[in-house]
Amino acid sequence: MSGLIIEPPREGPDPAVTPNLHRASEQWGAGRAQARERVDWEAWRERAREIRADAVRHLPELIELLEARMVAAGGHVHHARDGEEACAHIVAICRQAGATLAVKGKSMTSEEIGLGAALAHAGIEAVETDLGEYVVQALGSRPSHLLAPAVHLSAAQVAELFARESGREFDPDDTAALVRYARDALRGRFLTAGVGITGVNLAVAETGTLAIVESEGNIRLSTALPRVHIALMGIEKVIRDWEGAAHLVQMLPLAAHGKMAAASTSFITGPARDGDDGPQEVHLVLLDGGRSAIRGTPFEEALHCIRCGACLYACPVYRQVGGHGYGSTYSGPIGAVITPLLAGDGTGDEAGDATGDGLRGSSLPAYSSLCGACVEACPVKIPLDDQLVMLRARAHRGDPARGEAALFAAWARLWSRPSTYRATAATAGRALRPLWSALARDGWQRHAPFPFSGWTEGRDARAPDPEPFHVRWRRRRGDA
Amino acid sequence: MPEYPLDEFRARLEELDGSLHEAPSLTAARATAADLIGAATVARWRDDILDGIVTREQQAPAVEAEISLIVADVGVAATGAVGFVHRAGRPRSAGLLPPTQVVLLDAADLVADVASAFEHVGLRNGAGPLPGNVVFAAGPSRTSDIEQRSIRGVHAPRDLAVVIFSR
Amino acid sequence: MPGPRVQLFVTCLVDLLYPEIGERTVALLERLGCQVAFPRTQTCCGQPALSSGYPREARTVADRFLDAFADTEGPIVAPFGSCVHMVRHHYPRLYEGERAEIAARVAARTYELPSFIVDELGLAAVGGRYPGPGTTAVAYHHECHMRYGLGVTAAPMSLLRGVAGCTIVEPGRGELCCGFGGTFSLKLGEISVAMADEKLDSALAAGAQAIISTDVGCLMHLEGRARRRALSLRVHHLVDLLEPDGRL
Repeated sequence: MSGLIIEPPREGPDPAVTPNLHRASEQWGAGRAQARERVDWEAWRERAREIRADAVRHLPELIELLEARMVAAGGHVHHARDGEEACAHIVAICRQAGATLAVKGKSMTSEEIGLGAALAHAGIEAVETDLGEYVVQALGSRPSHLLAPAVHLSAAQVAELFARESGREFDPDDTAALVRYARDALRGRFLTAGVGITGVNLAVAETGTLAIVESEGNIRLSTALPRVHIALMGIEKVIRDWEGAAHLVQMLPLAAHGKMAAASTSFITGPARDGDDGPQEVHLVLLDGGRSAIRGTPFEEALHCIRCGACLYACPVYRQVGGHGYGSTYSGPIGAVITPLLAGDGTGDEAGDATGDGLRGSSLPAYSSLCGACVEACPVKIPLDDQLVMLRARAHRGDPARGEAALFAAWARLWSRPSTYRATAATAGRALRPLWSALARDGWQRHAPFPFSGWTEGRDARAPDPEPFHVRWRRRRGDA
Repeated sequence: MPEYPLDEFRARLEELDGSLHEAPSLTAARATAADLIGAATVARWRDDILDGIVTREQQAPAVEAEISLIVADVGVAATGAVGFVHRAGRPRSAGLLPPTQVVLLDAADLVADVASAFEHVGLRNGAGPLPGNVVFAAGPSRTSDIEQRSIRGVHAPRDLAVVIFSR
Repeated sequence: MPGPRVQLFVTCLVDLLYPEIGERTVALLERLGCQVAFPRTQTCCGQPALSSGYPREARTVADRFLDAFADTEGPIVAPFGSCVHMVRHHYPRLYEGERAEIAARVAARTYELPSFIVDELGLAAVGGRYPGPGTTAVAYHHECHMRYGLGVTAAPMSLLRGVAGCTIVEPGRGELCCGFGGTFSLKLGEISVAMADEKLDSALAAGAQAIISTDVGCLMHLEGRARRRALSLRVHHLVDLLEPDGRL
């Protein structure tokens, strides 16, 4: 199940998800307005950006420090170059623990590496304990948003699933009853699982501490009851120290929901000590998976992401297409940026996907009108729109024979000289006029010629004016 | 104790659907907690502060108890969160499994913001090791995963009452 | 005393498809006391190529813009925010060394029309009338490159409030992109059109009879879709409303 890229992105809107996404987006918008009233938002963003920039700039030394401190606290650290290695580490730890049942917290990184399939293959049952993930897993689907995995599903679908599972009836409008069912169904799993597997929001290098935020309490249970805790983390999520941690653990819920704090924030430093009843073993699996290759490139700021999901809620394209529509584990603006970066070698010299079928993610940067809403929403100020433009250029490199490239080359030649620019205007006005004006009404028409024919599939097209402005100016003013 | 942090703490906690009960002394706080608990079964932490609130007969294992009775190491005015350091006599399960939670907080442990709270419970730079597990709980657990409808009480407590007292 | 000398950056879309917007811009600037010059060697800012991922081709055309305007004097004013964003935000990044400095100097004196009038000329309103009789409910669509890219929303609203014969309505989620996005409108046309529909429907739901903007791309896209759906919703450039007696 899953992996970084699953399928080519969809070409049109997904009407099935739009009502839910609209509601989620509206709620997020209200939360954002609240956040802006609560704190000096721009100052907080700049501070958050600094903290993340410092961490990514010093990534290798901070990872080293994180490991040293975590081991000193009695934890174990495993390095994984790619998803396959990460899965292998996790399976080995589960096997060594003699565990056949794992309880799992929400982790997009685990989706990226296809952990569910790897565990199943190894005979280890991994139960998703986040309510949205639980439903998604039971339906054989996959999460469609960083924080709200079931945002694409309706209450009716959830009620129907629970009815099938339990043999009881559920009223889709009795949300509390649905939640109670999930709580009861999962309770026994928490109590018997040998391993708890979670993601990590931030790791504090100074003390080897893992910080995990949540709303439901499933992370606390997964990191309290099983004997072994496995934490999977992309290497870019390390930060230097506790000043940074204090700021970012507030920034995350603020950007995500407009709230001052998450319902629960856990700070885990090694296994349970001093008579505490938590796990006897804590393992951190550090995933590179193409991340370190992005450092030192013009795309480095994409590694600052704290996975808050704000850019998804802000994006007008995500709003139409939905998370699954991107065909990749990471959707929305950040997904359109990091998917091709993680799928390629990250250096920018890669030719990218010449076929444009999206299987290396290189068509994802097209999924943006470059409106800039994501940049404004981002709590760490990643210049996502500029990065999308750069990625579009990267996708074309090494594939100059493409029709579009030839068109733009010709366009540049013609429009970089005033005389040929004016000549194309005159030609379009004259030669195309018969074509354009055959069915034109008031200067608008229903069929545009190549290369603009796509325009008139849904819209009328404005015909070129027979007398462009530059001609009118000359006529009225001479060459002034 | 300055008024302002308490007002802010109350506002933040209530916004998150938690409740705040003020008691002028530890004795009064114990009485308030006993009122809140009534005859329900309780899983409690071992701490002098929690003595004399429930009877031995009321006490039950965490897996069965209706209410968890715990002490917070810190309260955070800016976020409405209570923080606790898990150690001997303060098992995580006791603070997690029961659906209702009553937390006693000494007003001297109420600090203004998250950075101060970290300092207060020993989450700081420099040589460790830190406590193995520190949790900040801001109000009850919740989810909006089903059509963005906000529901309280998933895996962690559904009801959270903080009883704050001055010694 | 002659007013400030202003260099008109008409933009290729206005030049070729909406020349009357160019003429109204000139008439307005002259009415406000400016001397308008039109550097005749201008062609296009190069944005379509940059957005599509062809920075070299964009630079080839941007070179021409710099040649046309670098040696001119006075503010450079365009009736189209997106092109101004290209010059202000992208030009300094498109070049290196001395050329980047030239680009930066040109960028620093390039304005879209509302900001020029309100901030540079210091006029909060310039009058005007919605064409036609009676009162028309209008919704203002802030183009994304002005709202997010340049951080400008107050100036156009200030000018709009000075226009007689219209009342301003605020559609829900007005900050959402209309879906034009340049070549996005062709590459992912279905999504683009769905975004236009949401914008048009929310304007209608708010009681708007017309949508006003300064982005010619947005206008073309919204009006094109409105016509295809036979909606009775007018679409105007802000400058259409700033004629003193509501003539077009």
